[in-house]
Amino acid sequence: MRPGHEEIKDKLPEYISTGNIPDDVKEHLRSCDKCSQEAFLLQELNKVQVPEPGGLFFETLPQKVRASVRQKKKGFLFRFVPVFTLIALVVVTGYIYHTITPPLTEEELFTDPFAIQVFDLSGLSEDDIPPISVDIADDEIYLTEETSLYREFASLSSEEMEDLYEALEIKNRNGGVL
Amino acid sequence: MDVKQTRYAEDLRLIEKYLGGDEYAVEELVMKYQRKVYSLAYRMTGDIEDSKDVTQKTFLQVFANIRGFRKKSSFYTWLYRIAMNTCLNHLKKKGNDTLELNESIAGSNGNALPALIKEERSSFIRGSLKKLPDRQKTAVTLRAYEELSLKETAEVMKCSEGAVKAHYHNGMKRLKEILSASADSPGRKGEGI
Repeated sequence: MRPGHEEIKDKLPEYISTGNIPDDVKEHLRSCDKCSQEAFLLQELNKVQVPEPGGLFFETLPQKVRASVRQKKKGFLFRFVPVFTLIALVVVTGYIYHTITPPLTEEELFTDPFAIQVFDLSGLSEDDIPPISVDIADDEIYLTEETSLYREFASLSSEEMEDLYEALEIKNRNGGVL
Repeated sequence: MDVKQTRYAEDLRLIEKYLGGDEYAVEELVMKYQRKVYSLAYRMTGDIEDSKDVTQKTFLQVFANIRGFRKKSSFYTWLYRIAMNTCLNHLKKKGNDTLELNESIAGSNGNALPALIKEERSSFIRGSLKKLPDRQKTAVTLRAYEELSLKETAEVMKCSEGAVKAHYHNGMKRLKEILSASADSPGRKGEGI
C-alpha cells in the first residue's frame, strides 16, 4: 500500500536522516510542494556541520566522567564517617568509664543521692533473701508495742479522750491509783 | 534483532556491569554516546564551549541518576531526555537569547526557499534554529538530526506524539518563514547569525 501524504510527512525526518528514501516516497516528493520543501529544508539542516570540540575532548571525557563518578561514590560513603566516628567514640568512652571507675562504697551508695548501683543478685539463692512479706499479717510488721498504743490513742473520740484525761489526772492526784 | 534492539541490549549490559561495580562500564557508555550528545548540544546551543560543558554535565547527571532508570524506555531516549533538559537549563542560566519571531514573517513566499537556502551559509540555518522557542527547537533537532521516531521523540520530550508533531511542524514552518523573510530583506541576505 502506498503511503499517504500525512504518513510521508511524519516519516520525512527519518527518510532524510537515514538517506533511505523509498521510490514511492520519492514519487510523492516530486508531486507535493509542501513535502518537497520540507525535505529540502531537512537536507539543509542535516548539512549543518558540527565542529569538532578539539583539545582532546572526546579522548579525555570518558576518563573524566569515570573519575568524577568514583569521587561522588566516595563522597557518599565519607558523608557518614563523622556519624560513625561519633557513635564509636561514645561507645568506647562508655566502656572505658565503666571498666576504670571503681565500684561505690556502701557509704557512698547510701549518702550520694545520685549514685546508681546495680546490685548483682545472681549469686543469691531464695534462702538468702529474707521473707519480708511472706506469712505476715496485715500491719503486723509495723505494729510494735509502741506503735499499737499510738494507733489506739488516735482512734479515740474527743469524749473518750477527755474521759481518759480525767482518769489520768485522778490517778496522778491519788499517787498512781485510780 | 534489529539495530535498535541490539543497541538497547548492549546498553543494558553496560548498565548492569556498572551497577555491579565495574567503573569502566562508565567509560564504555560515554564513548558510545559522547559524539551524539555533543552534536545535540551543539545544535541546541550553537556554541562549542557550551556544548562541551553540556555534554559533560549530561553524563554526570546520567550516572548520578542511573539507579532511577526504569528500563521502560530505551537508554538512549532516557539519555537524550537528560541531555535536552541539561541544554535547556544551560540556556536558561545563560539568559536564553531566543528571540520572539516577528509574526509579520508569516505568509512569506515559500517557493523562493530552495534558491535562498543554497546561498546561505549553514551558520545562518543554525542561527535560525536557535531562534525557535525551546519546545519547537527540541522537536526539530530530535526529529531532523537524531533519527528518533515520533514515539521516541515523545518519550524524550515527555509529551504525546500529537504534541511532538505540532511542535515539529510549527518549528519547521517558522524556520521556513525566517529563511523566506531573510530572502525578502536585502539587508539581511547572506548575513550570518
